[in-house]
Amino acid sequence: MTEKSRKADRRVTVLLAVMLVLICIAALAFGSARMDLQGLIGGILKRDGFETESTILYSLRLPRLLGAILAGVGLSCSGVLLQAVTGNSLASPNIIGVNAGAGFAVILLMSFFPAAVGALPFAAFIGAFCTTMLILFLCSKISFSKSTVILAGVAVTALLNAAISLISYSDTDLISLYRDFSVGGLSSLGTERLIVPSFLIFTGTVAALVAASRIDALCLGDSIALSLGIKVKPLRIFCLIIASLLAGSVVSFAGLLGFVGLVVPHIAKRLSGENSFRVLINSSLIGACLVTLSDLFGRIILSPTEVPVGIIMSFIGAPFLFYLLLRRKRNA
Amino acid sequence: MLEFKNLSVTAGKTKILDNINLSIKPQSITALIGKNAAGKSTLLSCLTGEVKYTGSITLSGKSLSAMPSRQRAQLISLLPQKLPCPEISGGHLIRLGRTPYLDLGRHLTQEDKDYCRKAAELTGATDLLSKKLSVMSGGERQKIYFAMLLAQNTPVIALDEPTSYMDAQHEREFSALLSATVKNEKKTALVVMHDLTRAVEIADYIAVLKDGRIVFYGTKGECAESGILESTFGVKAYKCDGLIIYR
Repeated sequence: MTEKSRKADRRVTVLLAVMLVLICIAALAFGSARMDLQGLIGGILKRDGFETESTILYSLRLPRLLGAILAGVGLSCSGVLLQAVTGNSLASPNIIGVNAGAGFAVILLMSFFPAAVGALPFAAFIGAFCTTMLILFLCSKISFSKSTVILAGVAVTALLNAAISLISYSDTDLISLYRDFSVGGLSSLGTERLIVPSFLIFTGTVAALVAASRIDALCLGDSIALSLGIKVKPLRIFCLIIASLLAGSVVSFAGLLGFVGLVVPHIAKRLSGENSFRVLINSSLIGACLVTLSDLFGRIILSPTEVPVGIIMSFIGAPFLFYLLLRRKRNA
Repeated sequence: MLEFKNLSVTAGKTKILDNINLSIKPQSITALIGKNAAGKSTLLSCLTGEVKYTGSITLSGKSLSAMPSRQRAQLISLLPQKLPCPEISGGHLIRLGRTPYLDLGRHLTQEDKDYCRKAAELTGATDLLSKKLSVMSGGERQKIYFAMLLAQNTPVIALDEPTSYMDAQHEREFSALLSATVKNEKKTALVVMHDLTRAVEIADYIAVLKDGRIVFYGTKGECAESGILESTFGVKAYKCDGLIIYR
């Protein structure tokens, strides 16, 4: 990489960071109750005369903003890790059973303990994480090759999805509850629900960044990675666990937000950089921007009705990816 | 000295390598030749621990299997026959050659960058630094991967059919580069080759693998006298030191 392209990469990262700050300001200022800059600053600093703004910000918008940023960072980093580990550009948290595992645990809990709504986030996380562990256990009996991980993931996911369908087959209330969970959303998010996920997402992201230089070598295949001194199998297991931890943490408070983990890593790779460290940083920023912006649009376009963030995300992210792919084709 | 002692590899009930005993002379090129499925690539894969084996492989008396992987990667590098082409540039690939020298979370030092620059210059791959591997030709890819191997800077290099995608001119250039690298950088090279003439031309020593066993190891002259190539491959003539040897 030349010094020129390194500078260009840094510029992209700075630009994304600036974009995230601006989107955050917009996410705090806009909503069913709009705030001007004075109201926003007054509300954040809890100045006298800004009690209403302060209440809206601290009880509604700040937790929601934090949730959006965490969801974007967690899912994007999880996607980067999974695509690197499996060498499959279509890999996303789905393939290690995060969505199916979380969904199965949620529907099981709702089916047998309908009153235990408060335990849903915990069940979602445990379901996601345990499913990944089950896939890893199956791989340990066969092999930790890329294709085995993907196929084991597909098999376990299919099994859990069948179980979800079976449990919810005749219960329409359950189907409705499950649909809300599967679409995902950030409404009515309290700070207390974000404490544990934020710790896990921060730890997972730092761990991924620290291991980034090793993760880079995985794209060269097992033979060359081994020749470069990489312990391929332990690194692959480590990445799968971190990816599950990140995505499972997001599922626990935001439900099944698809798309981010699949598409954001591609956008990051197209925009800049080729080393995993840079891709992880840029993916985190793009993921945070995308989820925050989608949530903001979801709150204002049909206000006072909210459009779920997952739907908006697909409408914003997919055309952007098409644009990048077309630009790449023109440059080729 | 790189030594294989009583090395065996089995897959199910099949013995792929059968009690290999081989001492590779240091600072020389050893061509490992044999028919298809003789076990050549498997023997190289044992060097990085990719294939499980019984017996031992030692370098300067130290067992490779007992070494931490990073330490081993600072001593032995391997280029397999099948070279992947991910969406990364040639420059990034060469930098990955320095992975064994990087602690977790650390980035390349100036010394690392100097090794990468030198490797690119030596292999004549400077014009490939910004080109993506996915759009390189097979020959270009072999060249840039060899540059990565040089950036890894190990005393022993193992190459599995490194010129299979190169045209005649690039193959000659590569052979000259390999010879010069071994001589100037005092490296030991173990190279799997399918072209007997090229193998006899560039190698100092020849090792012949047949049905998972080493049936010959010696100098080119000894190889020509022994008639092992004729009996193993059924060839009637090959070139050795500019002379065409007929049987």
